[in-house]
Amino acid sequence: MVETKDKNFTSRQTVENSIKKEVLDALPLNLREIISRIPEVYRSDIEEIRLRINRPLIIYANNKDLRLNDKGEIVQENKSYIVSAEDMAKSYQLITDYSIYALEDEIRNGFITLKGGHRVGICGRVVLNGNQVKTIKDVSGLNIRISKQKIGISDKLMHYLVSSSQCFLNTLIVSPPQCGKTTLLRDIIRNLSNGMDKPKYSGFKVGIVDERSELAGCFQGAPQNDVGFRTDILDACPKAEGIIMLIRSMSPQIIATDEIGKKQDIDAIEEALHAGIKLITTVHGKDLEEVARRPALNSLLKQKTFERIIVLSNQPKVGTIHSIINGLTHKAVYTYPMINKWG
Amino acid sequence: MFAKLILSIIIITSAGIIGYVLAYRYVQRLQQLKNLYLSFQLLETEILYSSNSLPIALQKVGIKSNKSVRDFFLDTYKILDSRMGCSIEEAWTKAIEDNITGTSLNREDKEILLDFGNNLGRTDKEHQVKNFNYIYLQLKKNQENAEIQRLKNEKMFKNLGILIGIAIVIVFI
Repeated sequence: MVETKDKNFTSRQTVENSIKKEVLDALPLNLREIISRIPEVYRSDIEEIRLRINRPLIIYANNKDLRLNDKGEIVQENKSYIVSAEDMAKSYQLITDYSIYALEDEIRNGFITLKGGHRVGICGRVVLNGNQVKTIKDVSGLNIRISKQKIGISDKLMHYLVSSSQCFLNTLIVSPPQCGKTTLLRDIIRNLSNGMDKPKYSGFKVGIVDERSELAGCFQGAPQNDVGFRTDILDACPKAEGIIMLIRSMSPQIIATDEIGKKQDIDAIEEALHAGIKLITTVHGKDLEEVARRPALNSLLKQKTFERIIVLSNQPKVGTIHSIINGLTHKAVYTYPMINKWG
Repeated sequence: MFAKLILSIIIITSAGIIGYVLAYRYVQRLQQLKNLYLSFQLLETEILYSSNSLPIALQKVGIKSNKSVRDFFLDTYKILDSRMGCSIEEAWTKAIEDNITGTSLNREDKEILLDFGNNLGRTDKEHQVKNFNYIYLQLKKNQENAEIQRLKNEKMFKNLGILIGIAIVIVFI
């Protein structure tokens, strides 16, 4: 593990302080110039780049909207750079690698995954075919969500999630949006898959159902994020079907998915639990009470399916672990302050 | 006298060659339009059936295309692949402008090529098919025109070259 730590250390230093090439490549030259001149303080914290036609170019970092002028400086309202129709058209071509025809399915779902696992949300005029979305044209808004792999953020958590008998405890991550639940889940998966020395356990076979291509960030089949070497990924697969497919075909010990909530998802999860498979998943919500108000999830909680519940918050910082709750006794096994050191 | 004879022969042959070169343009244009047609068919396959991304598709088509039209595709590929933030139209237009002078294609041909670039890669498959069908139609039409012009002009330029050569000889020598 010493080796991995060293690797993590260098990658954090070098990789996170620069804006990734794949993201810059997806922007036209003038926007590239602006974004790459952002003050260094914000550079590693950029979460989103938002382009809206005829409206200011906005960067979202540290829970704040930042407006930029054409020199990349942070400015007040009326001086910011306005995204032109041409910028938008060019960005869209670059994001789709000039090949909208090859990405019809992705566009239908409203997002495209760039190389590096960054997701780009698309808004525009939707063209329907019967009741189904056929494509999006006249693109008016793009949201580039910069995928951040924070290797090592879950290291300190792992001994709460793996029992002394080397058995993984079903885990639910509860978090409001934009608090880093996917990032945390990804790193937990990596640790589960690779195995660790402390707490001591050999790795588990993990199956990911990556419905929105965010966890592994697959680009042309290859995962762009480190999700461990014992991990199988069903990319862009609906969760309910994917869970069943994994059980049938890949004999996973742990199934990981992001953002459950639908009735079908819960049924599939129950199916997996009956098959003796462990589970790690996330759900949107401020705290456990809020999650319990959703009928589908409430039943899972009542059955005491989840042995560990991690609650995240963005106070004081994105990725703060608010508490870890024992799902069986509903008592906290750890409460804030345990700030997860990011960046 | 002998010098005069040699001079006349030189004048007649060079005028004849100029005539042949001018006539050859018409033959070449027809041939290049046919090559373009084939290349576009390849591109259509790459796009519709292989779903390759446009830069890769253009590169593959460029390699397989006839030398005379290859650079339209390869140059566009190079510009797009350099990731310098060009749009497809910009790259395609530049490749056409840069290379069309080296071919026998005329202004009409250039226009349909540029038109094609405006829609290339920017829409879903259904509209790509339409774009391809449209350029096939246009190329067919231009091929027919080229054939008519070839029939009309090929012989004329060949004969005209030699005749003008003879005329020069008669008048000046």
